[in-house]
Amino acid sequence: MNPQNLAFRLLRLLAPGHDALAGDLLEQIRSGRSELWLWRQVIGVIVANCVQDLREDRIGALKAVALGWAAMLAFFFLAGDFLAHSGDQTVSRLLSYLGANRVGVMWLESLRYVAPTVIGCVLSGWIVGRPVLLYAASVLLSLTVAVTAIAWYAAPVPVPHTLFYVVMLALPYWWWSGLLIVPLLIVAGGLWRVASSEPLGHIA
Amino acid sequence: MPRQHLTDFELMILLAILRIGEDAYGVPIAREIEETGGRSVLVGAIYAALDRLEENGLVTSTYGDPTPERGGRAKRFFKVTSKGIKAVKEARRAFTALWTGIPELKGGTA
Repeated sequence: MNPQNLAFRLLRLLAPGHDALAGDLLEQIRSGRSELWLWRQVIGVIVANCVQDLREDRIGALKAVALGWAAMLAFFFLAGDFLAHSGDQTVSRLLSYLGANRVGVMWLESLRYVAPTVIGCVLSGWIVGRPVLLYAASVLLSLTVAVTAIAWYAAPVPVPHTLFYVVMLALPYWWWSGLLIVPLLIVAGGLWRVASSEPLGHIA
Repeated sequence: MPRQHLTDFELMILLAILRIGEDAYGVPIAREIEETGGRSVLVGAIYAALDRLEENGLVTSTYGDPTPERGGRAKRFFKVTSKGIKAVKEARRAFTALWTGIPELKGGTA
């Protein structure tokens, strides 16, 4: 998918019901406007749409944040530990065998936490990006901002759960990366859900 | 609840629609504001304002036929209602009243 089609697809997913506007944008692109202009317009529409939705349904946004948090923490506490530690001895032996302790890359061991963390974040976005397409963008935005804000203040303290902050340590051993990766994972999970709920159709 | 006063952006949009006439949809409205008003605009902001104006009964919109150059999407044409024209005139009256009698603004056109 080229960047232009991606922009129109995001517009359709995150700001549904703007067909005439999308037509205007396409018409302008075909008359020589740049892709940068298109992205600026699309991001503007999505943000404006989010703000409008949030103004109209604050309770819905709060419910989405609570649901997203609940899903993420439930996964971390119920399944995350098991997934992260089920192969403890195997991973340690493998790393020792490879000589990781001698060359100072034992931090690779923390990569085992990445899979459950990724699943937890994507899952929370997926649950929140419910098939109510009209509000998907705003509820996803609310959850993403809430989680990122907590991560900002909590990291690198292990709150609320080891798995939550470990992405920041593991990829690529620099905790700031988590502030980008965690929101991206949540948004990716949400977009996955929204896209799978959307009927296939002509994009651009 | 409908607002009684127009913002300057809403006023510009209403004037742009009136200047364009029959063919007033998103693209020419944006172009008119950019060329005449000398400011770049987000098409999304124009539609958000047009939705508010339509909600308040100041404009009406109708859809044209889908065209291939727009990826099969229809144009949404806008027309200013009599209530909208009244609001524009009221805004002009208010601005003119505010303008008059200010010594610093005498003798110039811009």
